[in-house]
Amino acid sequence: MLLELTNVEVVYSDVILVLKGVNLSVDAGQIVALLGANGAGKTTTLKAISGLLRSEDGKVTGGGIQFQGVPSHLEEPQILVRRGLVQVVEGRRILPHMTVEQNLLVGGKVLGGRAERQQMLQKVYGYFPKLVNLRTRVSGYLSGGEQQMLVIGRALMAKPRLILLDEPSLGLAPMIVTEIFELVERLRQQEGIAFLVVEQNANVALAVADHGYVMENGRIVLYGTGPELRENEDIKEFYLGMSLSGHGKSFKDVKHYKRRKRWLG
Amino acid sequence: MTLPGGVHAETYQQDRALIRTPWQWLWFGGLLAVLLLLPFLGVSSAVGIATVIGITLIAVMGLQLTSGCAGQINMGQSAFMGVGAYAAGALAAKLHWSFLLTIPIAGLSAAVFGAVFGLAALRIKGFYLALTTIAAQFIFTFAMLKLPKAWFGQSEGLRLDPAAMGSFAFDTDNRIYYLVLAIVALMTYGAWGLMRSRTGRAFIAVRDNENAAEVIGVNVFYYKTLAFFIGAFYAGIAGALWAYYVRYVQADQFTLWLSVWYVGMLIVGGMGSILGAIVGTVVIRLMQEVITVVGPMVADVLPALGGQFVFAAMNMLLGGLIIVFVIFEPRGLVHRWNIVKESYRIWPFPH
Amino acid sequence: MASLLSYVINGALTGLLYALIAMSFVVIYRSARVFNFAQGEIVVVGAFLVWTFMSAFDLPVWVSVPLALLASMLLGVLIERVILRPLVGQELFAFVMVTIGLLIFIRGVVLVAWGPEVRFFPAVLPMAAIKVGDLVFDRALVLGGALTLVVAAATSWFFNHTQLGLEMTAVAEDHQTALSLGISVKRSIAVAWGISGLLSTLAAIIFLNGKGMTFLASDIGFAALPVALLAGLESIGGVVLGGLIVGIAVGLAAYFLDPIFQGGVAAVFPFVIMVIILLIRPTGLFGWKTIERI
Repeated sequence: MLLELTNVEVVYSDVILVLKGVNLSVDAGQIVALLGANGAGKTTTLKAISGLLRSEDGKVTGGGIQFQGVPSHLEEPQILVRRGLVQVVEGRRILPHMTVEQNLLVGGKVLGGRAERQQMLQKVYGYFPKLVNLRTRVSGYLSGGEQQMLVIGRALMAKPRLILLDEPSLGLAPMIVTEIFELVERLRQQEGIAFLVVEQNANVALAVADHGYVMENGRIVLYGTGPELRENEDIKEFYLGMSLSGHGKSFKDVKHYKRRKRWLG
Repeated sequence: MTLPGGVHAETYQQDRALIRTPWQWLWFGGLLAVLLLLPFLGVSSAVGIATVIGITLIAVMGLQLTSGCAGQINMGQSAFMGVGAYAAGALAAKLHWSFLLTIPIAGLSAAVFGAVFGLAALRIKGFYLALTTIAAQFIFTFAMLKLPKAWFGQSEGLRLDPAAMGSFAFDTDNRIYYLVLAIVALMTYGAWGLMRSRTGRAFIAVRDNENAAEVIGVNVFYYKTLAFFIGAFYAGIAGALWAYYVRYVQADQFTLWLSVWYVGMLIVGGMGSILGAIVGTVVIRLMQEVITVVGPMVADVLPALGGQFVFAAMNMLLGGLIIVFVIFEPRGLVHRWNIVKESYRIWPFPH
Repeated sequence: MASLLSYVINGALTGLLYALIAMSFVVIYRSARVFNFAQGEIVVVGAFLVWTFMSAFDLPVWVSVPLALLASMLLGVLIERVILRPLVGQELFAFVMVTIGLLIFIRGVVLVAWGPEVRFFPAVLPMAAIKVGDLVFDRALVLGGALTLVVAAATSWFFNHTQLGLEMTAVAEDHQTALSLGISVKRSIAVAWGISGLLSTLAAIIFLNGKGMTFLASDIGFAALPVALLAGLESIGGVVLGGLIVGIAVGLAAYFLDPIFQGGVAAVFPFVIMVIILLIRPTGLFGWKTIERI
């Protein structure tokens, strides 16, 4: 098991309990989706895994996280990146005043030397042909889709075994979103990289996921394989916008019997 | 913030009152009594220290309004104070106007000077504004030393006669103390009222998020300028009082270091509240007095430290305090006090 | 005319000296997003260290100077670790206030450690003036100017073309992103402070060569502010140009205005320039413009 979370509890500022016992796992080469509404704790889960909690005054106060079989919840982010765990934080956080190529080179920090970095750079350009023409463009001026590709490419430079993708579809046009998820699938197949994808767009996430989790209020409330979740009535109602009849929700039906979430607790 | 158990309001007036319980009235009354009777309490230097604290307090309160409440970092409050002092000094020494006129005019001149920097705030934000006020500090000193002698006395400064109303002159420590006390009370009441008014809320909006404030209809530019205007007004009044207290005005009295001391007082006290300004000023001034008394004794014991030890020690104290507070208690003593009160009131619950 | 030219060229050389100090501001800002108000004090500490090693301990130049450079580097790293690291993630005002507090604190320490008396700074660089025709130049300033140009070129290349430099830039852009890429934010910032301490001491040596110095020499830190601003707080290359512009402007101002104001113009004119820059173009000539997508 590449990544394993066992009963993870996360507390912010010593008082705010955000994760209340999260269990999840990702195996090598898998794509796992983490779904849920805003404020469920998905980003916190990713940050707990990648060690970025500390910069937000958060702590893992219970349970454990194992990456590649080694406990990792107390490690510093740079150690984890070296071991092959990279998080792509939400919001397309490029380094806006640096050029595309400089952004990518920064991502290659953990590599051995110049030669290795150049090699990885060419590989990344291979996956993102659009970026080749933009190499010397100041990255703050790229479009949203290009920026998203840049941050994923930057993560690739670190030769990761597992990439934590936080809301890659945020603010992007549907066609670009499809392109990005196609890319994720390709990377999984050709590089064997596993992905833990946090998404609000359940549709597109479940289309590629091997299995998925649904989070709510800091707990995992549902788990299943991709196909299982796609067919699940609750998922369809609450995350895919389909009513009992399987079509889009009609507001005519709103006043009538409303399905309640069975897992509220 | 919670109130003690059993305290609730039945009218709007009650809800907005500052003093809600009999105990608070008692404390307040006690404070007033101590302040009014200070000269008769037997501690000889208390009146002098209290007067200086009062004058500083007015300037620091103005700074609190500009920086703590409206969010405009101002490192030039001392220069604004200087403007007020020179205005009062020149009018009193050259034209022999009464203090009843010179003090308000000093406030206004400083306010206008400050408002000019508020105008700069249209284009310059945050950190850069702080730099502009630092530049203002240096330019002020230069200007005061270079303007004609007949106006401001250049490096010799101005000398004043004591403030006087007819035959009653404020020429003793006690009399000046009461004058300062009265003005401090007036200015404090004004500041407190300001913060509870629409203007105060606009200040806080501008401080917290300019764009959002602009979008909901707060005229950001107007309120920024107003923040500087009012803050500098306070500084001007303080400067005028200083002129009448020390009876000598000179550009070197108003340096960048003094401005930094003021900001330091806000940090220690807590930015954003009138009480913070009061607490910060009192605490730091008292510490300065302690060092002034203790310093020479230490220097006697350890002569290697040199004659400048008191001055150096003050610097180390202020610098150290600022650093420690910013790292460990950035919201100042008032915040810590509020937490203590809260903990006490809701005990035994942790939060 | 010779006099005017002399003012201009001396102004330019002084400007290059300011540029060196401004560079130490910029290095820190470009790596840690902290504006170090205490830079002037660090210059003074460096100078006093050189003085102490040479005069009090009687060590030769080629030992004292590297020792002092090392000590000031360590001071920079110490400041970063003890005072700035706890503040990671806080807003700008906290950093501004802490460096101002540091400024005052170090001034106090300098006073206690070395007293207020005027000390004579040893002539590390050759003292003989350079004469070109009617013009007389301070040799130290000329050497210093050349040094500034070299250092600026080297530092600029470092930040734009080496991996470590790119990482430090990334840290300045966005701490969290840098962390998520495996960059040690703490180490980058420590390196920046170390380099900055080094530059400050170099500037101190040039500035005070063979002259009397007191704790008030730290005021030069404030005079270097306009240079840093004019360049744009993130631009190292721009600092040289900024220094030249400010230096020449101050020289001209002094030449024309000193007679009117009876001196003192050179001390205050940098601040006038600063206000003008802030009003017209606060991000400076080459600084990072705010890229905002609303």
